[in-house]
Amino acid sequence: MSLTIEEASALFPWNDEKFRADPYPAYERARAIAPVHRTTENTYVVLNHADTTHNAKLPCMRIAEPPSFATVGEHPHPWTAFDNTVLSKDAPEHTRMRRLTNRWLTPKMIGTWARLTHDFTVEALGRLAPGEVVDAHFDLGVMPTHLTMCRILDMPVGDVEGMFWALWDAMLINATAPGEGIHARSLAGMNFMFAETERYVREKQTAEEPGNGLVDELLAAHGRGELTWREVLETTVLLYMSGGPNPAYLIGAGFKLFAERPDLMAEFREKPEIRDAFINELARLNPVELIITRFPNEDIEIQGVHIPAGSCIKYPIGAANRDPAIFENPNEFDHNRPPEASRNLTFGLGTHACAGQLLARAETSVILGLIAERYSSVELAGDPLEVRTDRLVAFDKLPVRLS
Amino acid sequence: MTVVHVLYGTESGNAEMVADDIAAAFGDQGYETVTAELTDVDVSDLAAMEIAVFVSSTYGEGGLPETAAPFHDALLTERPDLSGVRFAAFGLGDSIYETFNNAIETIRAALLELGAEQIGTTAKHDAASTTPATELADAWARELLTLMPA
Repeated sequence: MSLTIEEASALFPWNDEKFRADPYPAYERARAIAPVHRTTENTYVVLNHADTTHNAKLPCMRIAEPPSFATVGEHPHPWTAFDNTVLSKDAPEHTRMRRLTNRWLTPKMIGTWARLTHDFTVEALGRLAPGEVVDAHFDLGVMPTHLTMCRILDMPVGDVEGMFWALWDAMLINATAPGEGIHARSLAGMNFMFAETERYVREKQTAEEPGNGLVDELLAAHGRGELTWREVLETTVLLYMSGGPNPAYLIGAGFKLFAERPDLMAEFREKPEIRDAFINELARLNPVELIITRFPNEDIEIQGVHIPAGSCIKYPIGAANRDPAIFENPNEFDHNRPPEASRNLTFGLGTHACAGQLLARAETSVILGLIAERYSSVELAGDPLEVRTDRLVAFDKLPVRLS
Repeated sequence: MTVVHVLYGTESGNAEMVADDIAAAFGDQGYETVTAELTDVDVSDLAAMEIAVFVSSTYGEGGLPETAAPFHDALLTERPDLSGVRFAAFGLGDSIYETFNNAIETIRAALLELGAEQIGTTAKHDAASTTPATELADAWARELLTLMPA
């Protein structure tokens, strides 16, 4: 069945509140019509898990937006602030930048970092009075993971809440169709993050004794002339800002699940051997970044649809993660899925897969493990509040009572 | 007793994990094992190793991972005589790329050229598969053990 661009576009009402809150039925309807849709002259949406996992990591899929997408006379995109990081680079520059952090995030190092997350969470729980309502998202999600990242980087804790919302504002511009005023708001968020981070990095740079974190390594490389100041700063902002917000959404989703499904909380407590698969299933159903965007630099074909070089391809993570061709009862939480039916795209894929995903998974496992072991129940003490665009989701508030 | 050297080159630490798994499998069978990253291995020490297990990922468009490249360069420049060295090879890669598991092939070719003898088959883990690298490493190491001198 062939749809016009207008008809295909109507299948994905990116700015509709209802769609944003629950895009899965819309993805299913669109998939029933066709697995690939052309939604603007040069934009395509790919819905199947197999098509996404195969195509999104092809070497021809570039991450940088080609110049043809820029509008003449428009202000530069606020995210050009990260042009000197892995976010915007393709190989071989991507390889060079990624190598700055690889050694800090190996499977072995993650064990050390996860022990820190454990200790920070124990401290936070120790401060709670019995029956006290706590914001599970901020106090038990953002804080312990941010503190862990601060130790990896050897950075000060800073204005955690201010930085969290600055990042949120900065991300608003990445919505498919950001509204009026978003450019300025996004830019303000970006400037705040960079100013805060730069202040701390400058302080480190002039400190009498160098620290022992990742940022100190970047600064040393800068001192040797191997990294530009922008590369140091942008990479630091990127890491400093990713420590808390992204894992916190996964952790928050875990608290919600524990509240709704005490049986699953009990199973998590009693069977440590299922925890990795459990966290993986939690990630499958609760992606925080919602769309992978790529620009092929050569013509390709997906499911018979010819896609010219330079087009924009959107791969909605939620569509792939709930593709019924791979996941039986895709909307149900089932951590017993076989390995071939549990691979999801929540942490991206290929070269640009999330560098911190092992850390995020380990932190989530540690925090939920502590909750399941120390408490018999998690109770929601108010409606969880989420903020969403079609590109990103975060908890605003997640009040819970632990008993 | 034969000492098994497990030598790895890695980018993101996965080859290091596999090296640990292989060393553990040999350790369980009573072998003494030494695990080292290729950046810490002097090519002139290779000739004295009876059994060396090489583990390497492939990076980018078929390249050697960061910690294997200097070792490979040194092999080609110093060209030590490796006759008498027996080695095994385990690669990690992603079959989506045409250069799937190219790095372990690069290392293998250099070792063979310098006179080393390969035992067992080259393992090639595929990140696009559903088998965890740890599982394949364990099964492969067990197979390798059957080919080891008693």
